[in-house]
Amino acid sequence: MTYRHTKVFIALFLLFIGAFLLGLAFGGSNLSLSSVVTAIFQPERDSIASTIVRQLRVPRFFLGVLVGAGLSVAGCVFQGLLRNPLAEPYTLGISGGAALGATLAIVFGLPGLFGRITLPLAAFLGAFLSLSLTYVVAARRRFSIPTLILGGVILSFLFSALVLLILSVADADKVHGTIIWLMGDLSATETGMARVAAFPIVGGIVITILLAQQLNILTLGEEKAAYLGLNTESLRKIFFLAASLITGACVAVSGLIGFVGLIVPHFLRRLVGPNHRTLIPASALGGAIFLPLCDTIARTIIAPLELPVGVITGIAGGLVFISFILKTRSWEIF
Amino acid sequence: MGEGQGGGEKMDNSRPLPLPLIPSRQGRGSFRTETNSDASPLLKVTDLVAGYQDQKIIDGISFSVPNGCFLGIIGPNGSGKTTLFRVITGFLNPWEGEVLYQGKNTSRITAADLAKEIAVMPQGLESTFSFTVEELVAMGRFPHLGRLQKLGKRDREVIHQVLELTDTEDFKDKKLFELSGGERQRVFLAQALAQEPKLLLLDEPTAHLDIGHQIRILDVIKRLNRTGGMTVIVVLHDLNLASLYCDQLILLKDGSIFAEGSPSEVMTYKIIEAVYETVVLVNENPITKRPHVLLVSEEQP
Amino acid sequence: MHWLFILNGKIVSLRRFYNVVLSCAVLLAVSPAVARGDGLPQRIVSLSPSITEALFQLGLESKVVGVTTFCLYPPRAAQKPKIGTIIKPNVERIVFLQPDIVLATETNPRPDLDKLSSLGIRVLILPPEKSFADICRNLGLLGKALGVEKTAESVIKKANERIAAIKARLKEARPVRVFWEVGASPLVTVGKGTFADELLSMAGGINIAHNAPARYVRYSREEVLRQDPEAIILVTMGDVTAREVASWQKYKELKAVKDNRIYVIEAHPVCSPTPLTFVRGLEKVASFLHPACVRPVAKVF
Repeated sequence: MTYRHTKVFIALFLLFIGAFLLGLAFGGSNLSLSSVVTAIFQPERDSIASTIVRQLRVPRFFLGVLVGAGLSVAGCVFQGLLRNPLAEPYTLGISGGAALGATLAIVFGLPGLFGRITLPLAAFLGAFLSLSLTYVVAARRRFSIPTLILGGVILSFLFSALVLLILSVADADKVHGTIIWLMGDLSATETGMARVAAFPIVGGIVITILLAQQLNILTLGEEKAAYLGLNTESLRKIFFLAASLITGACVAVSGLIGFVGLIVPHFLRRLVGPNHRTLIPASALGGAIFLPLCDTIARTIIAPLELPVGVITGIAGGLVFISFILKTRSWEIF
Repeated sequence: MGEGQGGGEKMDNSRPLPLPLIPSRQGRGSFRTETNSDASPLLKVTDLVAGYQDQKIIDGISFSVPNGCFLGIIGPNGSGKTTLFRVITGFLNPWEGEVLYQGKNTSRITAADLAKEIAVMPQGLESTFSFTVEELVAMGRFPHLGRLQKLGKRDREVIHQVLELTDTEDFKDKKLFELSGGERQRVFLAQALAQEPKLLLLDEPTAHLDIGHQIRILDVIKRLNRTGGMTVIVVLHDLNLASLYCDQLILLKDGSIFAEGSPSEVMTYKIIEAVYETVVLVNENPITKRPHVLLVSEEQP
Repeated sequence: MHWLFILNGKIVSLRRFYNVVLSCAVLLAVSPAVARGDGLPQRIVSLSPSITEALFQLGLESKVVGVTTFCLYPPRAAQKPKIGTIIKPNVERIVFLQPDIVLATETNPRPDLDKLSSLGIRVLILPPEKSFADICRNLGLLGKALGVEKTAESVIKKANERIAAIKARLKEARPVRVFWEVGASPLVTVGKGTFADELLSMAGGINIAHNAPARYVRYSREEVLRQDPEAIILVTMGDVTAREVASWQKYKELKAVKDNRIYVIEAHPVCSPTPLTFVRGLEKVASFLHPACVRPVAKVF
């Protein structure tokens, strides 16, 4: 941890506090700032403001923190694991599987069966299915990177086609539900669900931080990594499973939120360098700022209508990223 | 060959070399006397057969490498140099035969244990992400670190020394992308040396480098071999470099050993012409007294 | 809630029965308060245009505190505070409005409804409407939940009387084969199990896509030409409609084109109906198909 890194982390921490305050202050209803302050310090005085701030805005902010951190770390790990700066959490087909699970649940009306957990459960099972298939395919080739990418991408196309197949024969009202889910959303998930999802997400992040130096060495290529004493095959398995688990849990509670997992690690790699020991914690913090911030914008900018948060992450992230590339010499992008 | 061969190198000869940390050079000498040698060879290879999928590349190779030896593996393109190299390093499993390191079959030693003793610099090393030179070299300490992979005082010392040794200290905070090919190769050499290996294996460490960088890289290795007793096995393309630096040579042709011995035994015009199928002249380098191969074109100049 | 098992005095097909059981479970799970018959709701949020319109017909206009941006009928409904769209209601805005009850359909996203009920807000999810009977049942459910059962019953009775009148007039009429177009690109029509299909048959028509494999289904233009319907009814699609009429008129051999029987109807009465709007739509379609029997209605609403 150099002086520069310390500065970056302090800045990120301050930004996090700022994002939290913004997330408390602004939302879909035009609650005045003074009622927000009242709701925080004297909840008994204004019960509606207190419900809105404490039971809607705060859980939503922390769900954003969880999912933002999870997707950013998963993206960061996939980029390192696949030695490909264009990789992101959904590269290996997890999104397709989760989408298939969610679509089946919505179209066949399963939410009536298991209540509130059905949709996250179905999405998670779908994600699990796709990652198992990728795993089986990749295991036949010693988890070589081209096999992982090829297997994942092909499965993701396959699942997308199946989703489209189901949607094209499904009822119109079910299609709406599915599309909303596909666009990703942080608004409604039960806090209990978020707590359950926190275990795989936080657990996965901790594992990848502990193995950060191994991930650094893996980026040198399989041969050199093996010469430095790594069991490359089992490490690739561990990283693949950890990042997939994180992604699956994120997708289960929030649907498919794009761009976060691609842009946040890129952005922070520019700030703190590619060393995963600092990059993974920095990405976690960066995602925990970026996603809730985008969500605050998405729900206030045209209130009472809400934009899908993926729209804002895409626009904001894309613009920042392009301006970055334009200012940077080519070899420094990664 | 003198230590000052490095020309413009800024090497500090007075500083004691830390690497490798084994006390003395022993068993250095006749290459083909392993049968009656007391000191068991550091590395021994018996009846290796290996290849990819169903294509056999090397067939029935045996040799042994005594402690402190500087062994060169030479041969034309496709003769099996890199395949042999990969079998020795354990990256490729042999179909038949075995590789013994200090008398123990390498397939029974874990990669982590092997990495504490053997450092390998394969061909075509690159880094996808823009790590700094120091970060890359620090990765070489990985095999020696504990569970938490925290760099200790000694680790930092070793890193500092290998940076100095390879003359990469000046740009330790630069990114690999910003360096020239020769500088990058020196960084990867420093990374391998940071492992404090007893045995260093290199696959064409000087490929694509200009003569200045070729000499700089091999001088560092030779120096550690002579003064630190580090055993070296290097695959080389350039016959004259092999002659200049190696104590012993193995010349491969079509996956088998065609000739082996000291440079003057192996590099005769008869052998070279037979293996490379081209006309050559073999002279003696007036300074090193080692054989020097001169090329002859069949066209009129 | 035994009355839910019987629709129009008879137990219907197994599939519908399953739906009913499901809706019953939904109702019980989501709004136990309804079953207990607590104090009548004074502040109502509607998440569906047809529910909003039904609330106005039931005389509950003053109790409606929030509607979706899609709620345009009756025009006064559009002036109520907005709580987002059908597919993305704004939970925070709804909580802010402090409703006693939120009226929803299965088109609304389930997680949002769950969130509302977890915050202690009563949510009533009306089961899907696939027939006129379903529409009437849902109005009955609304009446029961909001304490205006009598009004609901009289509205349903009035609607049924007008349907009976239409049926009586069409007794002798020969059914007309109709293509019912709800989307132009891709071409989408309705199959059986939709109230549009039911409305068509009540209006003395035969839906040529009645046996299509799904309720809302993509249809090929080729198949329409092959079936050669006597009339085509376009459910208006904004500015696409004129172009769509012209595109059918290209096929001069088509019976509907030769007889100039391409009709356009507003989406509102046939797409998100209450019993009364359904009847108005029915009267309109009947006047298209059988102008001799049913007097054309000048205005639909």
